[in-house]
Amino acid sequence: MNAFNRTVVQHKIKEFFLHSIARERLAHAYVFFGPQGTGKEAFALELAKYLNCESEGEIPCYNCPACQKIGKIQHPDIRFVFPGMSSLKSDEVQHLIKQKAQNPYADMEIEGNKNIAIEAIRELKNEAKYASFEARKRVFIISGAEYFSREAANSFLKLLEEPPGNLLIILVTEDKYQLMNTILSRCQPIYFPRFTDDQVKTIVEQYIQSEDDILPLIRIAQNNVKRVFKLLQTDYNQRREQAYKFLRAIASRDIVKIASVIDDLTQKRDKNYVLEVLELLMLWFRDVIHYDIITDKQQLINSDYEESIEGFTTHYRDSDFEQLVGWVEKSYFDIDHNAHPSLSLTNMAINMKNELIRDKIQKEV
Amino acid sequence: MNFSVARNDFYKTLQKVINVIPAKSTMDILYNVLLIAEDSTLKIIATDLEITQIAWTNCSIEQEGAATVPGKLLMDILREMPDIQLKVNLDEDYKILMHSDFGEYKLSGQSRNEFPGLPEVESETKFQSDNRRFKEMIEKTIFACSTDNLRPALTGVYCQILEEDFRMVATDGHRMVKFVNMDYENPGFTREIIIPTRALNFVGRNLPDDGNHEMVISDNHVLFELPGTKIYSRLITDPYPDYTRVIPEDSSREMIINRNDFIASLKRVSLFSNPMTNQIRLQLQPQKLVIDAQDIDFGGEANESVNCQYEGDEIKIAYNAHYLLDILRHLDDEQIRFVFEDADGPGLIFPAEKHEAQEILMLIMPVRLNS
Repeated sequence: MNAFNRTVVQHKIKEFFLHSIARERLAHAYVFFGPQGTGKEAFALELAKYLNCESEGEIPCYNCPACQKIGKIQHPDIRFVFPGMSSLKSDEVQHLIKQKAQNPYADMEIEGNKNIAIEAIRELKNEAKYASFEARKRVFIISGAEYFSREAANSFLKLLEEPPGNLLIILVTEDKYQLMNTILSRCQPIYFPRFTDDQVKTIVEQYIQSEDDILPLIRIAQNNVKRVFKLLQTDYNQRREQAYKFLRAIASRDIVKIASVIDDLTQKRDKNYVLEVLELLMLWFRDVIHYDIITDKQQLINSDYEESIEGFTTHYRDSDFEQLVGWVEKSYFDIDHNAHPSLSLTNMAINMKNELIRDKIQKEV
Repeated sequence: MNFSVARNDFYKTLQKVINVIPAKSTMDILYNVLLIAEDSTLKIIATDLEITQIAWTNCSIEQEGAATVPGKLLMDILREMPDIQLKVNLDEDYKILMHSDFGEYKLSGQSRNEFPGLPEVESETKFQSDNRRFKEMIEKTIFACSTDNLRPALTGVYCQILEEDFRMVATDGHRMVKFVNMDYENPGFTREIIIPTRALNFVGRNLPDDGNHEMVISDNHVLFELPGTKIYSRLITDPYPDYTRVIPEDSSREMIINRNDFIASLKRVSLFSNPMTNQIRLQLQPQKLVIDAQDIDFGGEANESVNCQYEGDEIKIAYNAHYLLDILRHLDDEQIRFVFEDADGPGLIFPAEKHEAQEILMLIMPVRLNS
């Protein structure tokens, strides 16, 4: 069938919607849920294009006025609501929407208040009372539905319960259990699983031309497209260097060295930066454990660091890797919950140092 | 696109549609107007998605085409020009180049495809009516519309094109107006639509006093074809409540009163009503109406009596003074007829003498005095 040819989406989801549309069994509201970076919003836009495309051949055609307008999120009958929208100025909203339109797979980077306020829902309801402007099917896409404020959610129920005829509501969320039951029970849930390596590659290639092999990056991002795009913008190799420098300092048992690396890490006063480094550290240990058990280099996340991983694993073969990851995870959790970063990191480093040293002594013996 | 046009024609045409551009919107394309040059006319289109307005003027075209340009900027530059001939060119990047005797102006536009399309309306469901009458109908109904989005249907005026008459109904749940126009010939179909108040305001402002206009109705839009301009409005699709059920069939009490006297007294007395409720009381006695208001919180009170024709037993009814004044102001007869059954039921207000081929009914709900 000549449908969704250029859309990167799981086969099952595509089949499901083609079936529902062909049998005119499209529900009035869906919840798209699944982990971050699985192309939920992008597919919602693709679906809106599919439902309104004017082409006779391939659908969506990306060429007709309807497809183009939806692609730019400027279609009069397609509304895109995101968290924090009502507290922003209209030119900021426009800017964010433009960004989203340029790359629907990338993160929107909304700062500050992340509520979907009742004003945004009121606006949708006001819009819903009119007949459609030019679309065959109107589509309201609400991104980050877990950020509904209580009042907004209750007000939204009214629209969900008695939606006008040709309106499709798509709620997008990473955690559907944070939605109110009353909302959830009125929508059909659609699960978006993680993309495969190849799917992520295809998506990234649509937006960014890069000579480098992005496979390690995809692995580091754990196939989360949003993270891939974010990592592409930042210097992720520098972060990885930081992580391994930290690990080397711990392994060297030199407290002064450890303290200086921790200083480096916390200097920026950026919690997310520390968390990213810790995450890379966890991924390193994931590789170590993996290699330790099945000695298969194909499946490594840090595939460009094969030798270091091999060396590390053999050298510290007898230490309790799971315990080590446990310390990193604990520190990650604590810092994420606003513990003092350098205290937590120092604590982690000391614990890990002991774990690694004990092993080394044993080896020397 | 390549055409030349006189500044005055361009400016006047743009002026007609410029007010449609929204002050604030998340779609920046709406700040633009669409210019279409074809068939020796220059069409200018602006929309805020609820209302779309088109105006046109003659121009000489070398090459047909279309593009969108920022409306306010175009308006500002044209305002500062004397009446000279302007040449307008479009290049591939949708940059619009305007040449005048003084120099050149470059506006950066966008493709026509990004602008919301012109609503499609079929020509079969066409309906012609008299400008003056329609303007009157708009003015006399629109004030009663609700502004509360909880009941979307009530934020518009309900228009019924029926076999034997054309009516417009507006209500907000406290008051209601029904305006029936019987000087009318059925256009060959019957329809019931709800037109948003903002659109009717626009149409009212653009309607000249004389002549006729045409209304074309489609599933989603209504088009008003006025001289020199066309206004499209989206329709409200919510179901309208069955308003006929609130109009009582017969009422036993009737009062006839001079409208101006009534308004003057009401205005004075209502100053002393509670500012929260605006409640005033009408005490009807044979041949006399006593209006009184009391503000218990601040201790002010007032009463006045007005002569009227009333033959019944004494009765007290309370109303919201604002609603009552609103209704009285929108009638223009000297004498009005006030009809009601009891102090809890709706009150109906008519002109005392029937007009030819039209019927106005205004309805107001009372405030309950004792529970």
